[in-house]
Amino acid sequence: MNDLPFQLDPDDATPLYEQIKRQLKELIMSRILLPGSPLPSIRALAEQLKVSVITTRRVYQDLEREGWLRSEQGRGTFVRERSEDEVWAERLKLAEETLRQAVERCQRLGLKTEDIASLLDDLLRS
Amino acid sequence: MLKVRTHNVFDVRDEATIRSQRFDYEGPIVRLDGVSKKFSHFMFGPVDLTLDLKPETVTAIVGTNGSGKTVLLNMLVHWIKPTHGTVYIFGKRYSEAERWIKSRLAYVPDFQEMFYGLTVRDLIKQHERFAPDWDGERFKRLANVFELTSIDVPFEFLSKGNRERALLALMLSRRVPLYILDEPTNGLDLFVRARLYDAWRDMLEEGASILMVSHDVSLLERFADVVVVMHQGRVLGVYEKDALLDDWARFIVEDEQEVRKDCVSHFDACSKEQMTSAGMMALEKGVLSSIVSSDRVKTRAYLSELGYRFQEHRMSLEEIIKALIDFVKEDQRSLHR
Repeated sequence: MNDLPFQLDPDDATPLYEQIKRQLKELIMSRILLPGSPLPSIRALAEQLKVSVITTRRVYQDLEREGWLRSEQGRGTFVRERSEDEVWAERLKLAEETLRQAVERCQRLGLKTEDIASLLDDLLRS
Repeated sequence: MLKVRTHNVFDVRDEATIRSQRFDYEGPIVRLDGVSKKFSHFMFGPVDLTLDLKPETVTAIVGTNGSGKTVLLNMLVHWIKPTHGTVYIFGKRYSEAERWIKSRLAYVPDFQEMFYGLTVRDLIKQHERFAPDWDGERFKRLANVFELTSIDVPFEFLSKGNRERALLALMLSRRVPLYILDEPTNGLDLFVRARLYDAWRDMLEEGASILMVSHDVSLLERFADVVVVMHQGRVLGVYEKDALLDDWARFIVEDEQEVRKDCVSHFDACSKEQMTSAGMMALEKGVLSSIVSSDRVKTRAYLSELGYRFQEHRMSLEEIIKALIDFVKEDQRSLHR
């Protein structure tokens, strides 16, 4: 199996577990990983990312619990089929998180609410 | 007519039973209780150590030359008996269950001389005869994968790499829950290593665990899940690899600011425990422009509080292990002062 396009950032202080989980979700949402496609084994993914299987197992288990993945005994782990509504809700959640971080950064730079709003307006128009 | 079975005399159970009986142990596989061994030139221990060695995981023992890594492995397989203390493997002592323990582990020693005079064929016969967990089919596959050819040549005439390949193929063809490997990639070329990794992955995914000693950094970065650091006969600590990678960081102070003297003395004044939790410093190029910390969150907060601008970088596993050992050496020096 070809390696998945992960990029762990050496200067990102976010724990490896969080980085891997977020990126795997993004791969699924951007449909680089299609529903039904098999994922590498936890050991193979750990080797690729140079992290521990303890971490990759936790990522898979969490994403399974959250409905992104399903595992089949003896066959491996696959991307789960999800309804459009579910995917849409997840997209919104992720987008909201991205915007929230951007807004917080703007506020730290000293921008007021109306400054941020008009900036966003300009960006949307361009 | 009475049939005498010379091969597979133990192999009367079906595979599922063997599997469930051998892989059923839960709880820490290795426990050393106040273990020490006195040699004329070297003191091992005292070591108190518990290793879970969970299924599917790889635990790597690292440390400088002469730190006692091989002694530790040899104790786990009962080749060296401790002067004091007790070794428990799968919850049992060798004195009460030697065969029971030895049928659950396979050892590849870094001592090929012990097989001189024997050929690979002799060793296959020994395994067929004595190892109830021997998997002949797996050996055929591995012999193929490792390209074993000269199975009738005595060990002493084989190259180092060929001996290692033969030993790995033999030991990995036992179906046991624990493989103990001493410097397993020594003398192997890049291609054989890649194939060895594939074989290990299969074994791990069957539920086995691997405990190894290795100086091979690329192997550790790729395979190790848990790292045991040894120094001068003692165990400095047992760490989950990702916790090390997440917790340790190098801080580079920007704009040629020097970290103030009172800050340095603050770190110096800490006891060892406080030092590890508060972060530690390393001198680079004469000024304290670079700080290595084992607790990035605390060090980040501390430096910000003091008003420094800095960059924060993750460290490689190799750098972290080196720093860990360096800090202990530094500690010992300051104790002697």
